[in-house]
Amino acid sequence: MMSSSLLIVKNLTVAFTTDEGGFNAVDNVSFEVQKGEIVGLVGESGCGKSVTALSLLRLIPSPPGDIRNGQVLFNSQDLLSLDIKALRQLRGSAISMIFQEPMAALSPLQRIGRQMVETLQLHSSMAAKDAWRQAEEWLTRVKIPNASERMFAYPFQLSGGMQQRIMIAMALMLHPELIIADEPTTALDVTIQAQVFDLILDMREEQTSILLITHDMGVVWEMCDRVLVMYASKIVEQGARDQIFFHAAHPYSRGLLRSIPRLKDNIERLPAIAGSVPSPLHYPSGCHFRDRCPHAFERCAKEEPPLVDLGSGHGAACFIAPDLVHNQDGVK
Amino acid sequence: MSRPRNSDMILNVSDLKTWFPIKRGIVSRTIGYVKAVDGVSFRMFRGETVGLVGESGSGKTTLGRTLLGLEKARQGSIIFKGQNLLTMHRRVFRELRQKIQIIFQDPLSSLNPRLNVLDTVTEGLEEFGMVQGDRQAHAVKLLAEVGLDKDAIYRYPHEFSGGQRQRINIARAISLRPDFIVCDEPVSALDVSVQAQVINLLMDLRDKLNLSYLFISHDISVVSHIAQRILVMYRGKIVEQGSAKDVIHNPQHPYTQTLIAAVPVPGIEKQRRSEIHADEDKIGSGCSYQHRCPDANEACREKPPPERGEGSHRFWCHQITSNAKK
Repeated sequence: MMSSSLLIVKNLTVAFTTDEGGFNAVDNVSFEVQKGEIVGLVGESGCGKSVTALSLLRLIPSPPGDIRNGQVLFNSQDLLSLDIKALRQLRGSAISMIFQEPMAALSPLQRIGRQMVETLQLHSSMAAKDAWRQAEEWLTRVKIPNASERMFAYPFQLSGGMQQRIMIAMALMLHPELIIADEPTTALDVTIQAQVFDLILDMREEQTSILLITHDMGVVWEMCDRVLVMYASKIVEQGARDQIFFHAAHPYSRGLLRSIPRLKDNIERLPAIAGSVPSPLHYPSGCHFRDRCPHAFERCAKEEPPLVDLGSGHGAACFIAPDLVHNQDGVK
Repeated sequence: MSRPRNSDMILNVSDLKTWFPIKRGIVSRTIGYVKAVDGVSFRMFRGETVGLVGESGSGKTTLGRTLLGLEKARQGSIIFKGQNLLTMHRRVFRELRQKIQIIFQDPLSSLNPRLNVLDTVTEGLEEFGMVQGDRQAHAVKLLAEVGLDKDAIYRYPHEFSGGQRQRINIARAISLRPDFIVCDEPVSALDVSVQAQVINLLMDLRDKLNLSYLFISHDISVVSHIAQRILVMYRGKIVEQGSAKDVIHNPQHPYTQTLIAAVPVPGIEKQRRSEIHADEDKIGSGCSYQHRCPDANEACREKPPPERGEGSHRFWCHQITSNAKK
């Protein structure tokens, strides 16, 4: 099992300094991604999931960000201490990223074809003509109609769905071993989202690993083998997809699952999680979720709950996780 | 739910068209139109929530804005409480407009950053001279209705979380005691855990104040929770409408079927099936869905689809046999 780990993140801590004070946006986060595995990193806005993703490739602007502690082992190489030149070679070719906003990630001044060819040539010694042909093939693969014409289009001339599919083509065309996808389908309609999922699932057939960052539990269900649930800078639960969906043990994951509006559900009222996500400057002491937790007791304010091992790779950072995991009443 | 009586009808929209001209050249000659809303008809009853679903660009927001007079309709009629909004005098419209409100998608940009909560929620009341007694007291009462604390009144929008800001928007929308509110993607920008709170609040207010909502969303799961009836819009036209139950459990139009099949439902495994996706092409006089429909034939390309269906569940499609099989 250990031998097939493509990515091992150990005790990653990323601090930010603001005028109002400092805080840890990512606090002691550890996880692994195996070869050919799709791991979902799920959480609400501000929980630190995007900062985690950006830190893996050292893309956090510093200041205000600062990677304080931890290791990011990619094929046993620590990306956090790697020489910047070597890291640059890895970015894009061995590890590529798909960002949430394609319009912000594509250059507005260059035609699509030019941008794609540039990426290809930067990482291989391909002739311009071959690169152009290959880029065009990729546009067809991501189902862009009239690919040969669209190679000459500027990003603003394309719809959001097409821009995102181009981002995906650019991420896939160098056959990376790991793709970090940060909310790749959030801006898309469900029908386009389904097409993007198909493309990503095809990639897995080629043993590509994917770290999929999302706030959408539906997306996690459809795409992921394993799930990391993040809340207020920490991973509060992790496990195989079915462990999370059918045996959720952390009160936050359970609340999240309960509050999703589901199609074909007959309940009248949605069970909401009380309160709102705390500001990172004012996290409560002990467990970060205790203010909103229906099960909180004295100990939660005094100590930070460690990740409790629930067997077969399932873990939850809650004192009463072993009891909750066996009681799935009201959680679907 | 019992069928509302006709006298409870508050809105009757018929053959509404909102077209945007496409202009070219130095004299800005109109060379064509974007038919954002193209012949839409529907009715709404008091206390009812009608969900309007469709993908981005389908015209659902334009339809909502046209109902409020924020876009100019080209053709059709909007009968609100017996009066046609499109032909009435501006002054009359202004009075009636109190009764029609809107809640926007982005809770921050829809609030004036320079107005505190007190001014935000009482601005409309002052304009129409409807402040009851003390302005503060009135504002506090409104805030209580949406679950906000009274010490919020002197704070500014940036001091609140997304969910709280949407509550301020809701307080402003209900301040003039409207009959009808267009909710344009009101929870799309919110976190999942907070989304449910806001949906529940909207449902409580609907029941308490006997409001009608046109609930616009791209997310059919959210709509299925709050709406009694659903309209499905595609490229400016309504392609299917009916009770939420009928539309969700027994979709008839191929677009509705695709839309529902594409929603990821946690806990239910489904087969992957990529949809045929064509480019934006001219649709001429045929069906607006012809280029993406797997079953499109000659008739679909040439003639507008006929209305079909039973009772209140209607859809517009040439193909009747192929829909039954899915």
